[in-house]
Amino acid sequence: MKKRPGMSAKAMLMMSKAMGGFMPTCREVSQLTSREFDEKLLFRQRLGIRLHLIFCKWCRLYRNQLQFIDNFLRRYSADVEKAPIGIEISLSDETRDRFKRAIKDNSK
Amino acid sequence: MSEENGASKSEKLSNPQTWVDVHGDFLFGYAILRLKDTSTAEDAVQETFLAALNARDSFRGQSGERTWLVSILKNKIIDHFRRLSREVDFHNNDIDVIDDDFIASGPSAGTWKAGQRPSEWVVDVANLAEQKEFWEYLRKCIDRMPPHIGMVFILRDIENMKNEDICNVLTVQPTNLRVILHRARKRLRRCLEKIWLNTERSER
Repeated sequence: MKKRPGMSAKAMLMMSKAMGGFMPTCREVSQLTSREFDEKLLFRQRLGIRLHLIFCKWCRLYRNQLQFIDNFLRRYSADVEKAPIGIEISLSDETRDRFKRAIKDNSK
Repeated sequence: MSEENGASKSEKLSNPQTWVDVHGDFLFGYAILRLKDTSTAEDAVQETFLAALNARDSFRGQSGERTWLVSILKNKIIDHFRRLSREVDFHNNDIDVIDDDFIASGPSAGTWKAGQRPSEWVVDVANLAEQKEFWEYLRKCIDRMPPHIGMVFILRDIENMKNEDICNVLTVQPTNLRVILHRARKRLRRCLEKIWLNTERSER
């Protein structure tokens, strides 16, 4: 098993103490990461995240992946006219005919 | 069916008789990502065509025909969620306590549990095939969410609605919405990793 540089509990505890309790835990970082998509965080929250991320590979991955998903959704839902923003799928011939009849009947 | 028809900006709408062939599949694909089952999605598309037919005179042509139809469909979807939200308990989040990703107590409290840590993703979204896959897996993962979490995620992260508007539509408190969004994103990330980007975990 290869050891990867996640944050050990010990390092976390030391950092947290050094920060005077400012250092958020992984749980808190994951919550703040989500909140940041919806609102502006306080300076100390942003600082806490940044410091935590220096030491914690898992939270870096978590954050990057959430941002990746968000970027994808933003990029491809911005312009309806040119981007696929849904599943590629076809209506059945039956449904197609039903819609056409409905449009015809309501056009009169 | 050419995609270009829908993409051209025109002052006037095309003949409604052509809408089904030109925009039908697109609208259906749009609806089915957001609404779980086929028949609900079909109904939403049919309602969209009929609503568009009645509102033909209000079309001003600042946007394309397809954009206009999509905006009508969006409202149909929001209406559907508004109705659905009355049957859903937004305060019942107990289910998520079970699959918590973090160590609960002790000196490591608040850190990732060994089996829950995120792993590296190898994905190339510049690749068109992977873009298509993304939507497919996104839908599968949303389907796995409890209804109240799925709805919130769709309105916020896919439809890009504002948080306060979502609170109004679904009648949910802002603090509660925040918690649900966090859980939705956490679940989605994990689900995509599990069923799509299934890489070897070094910690197991």
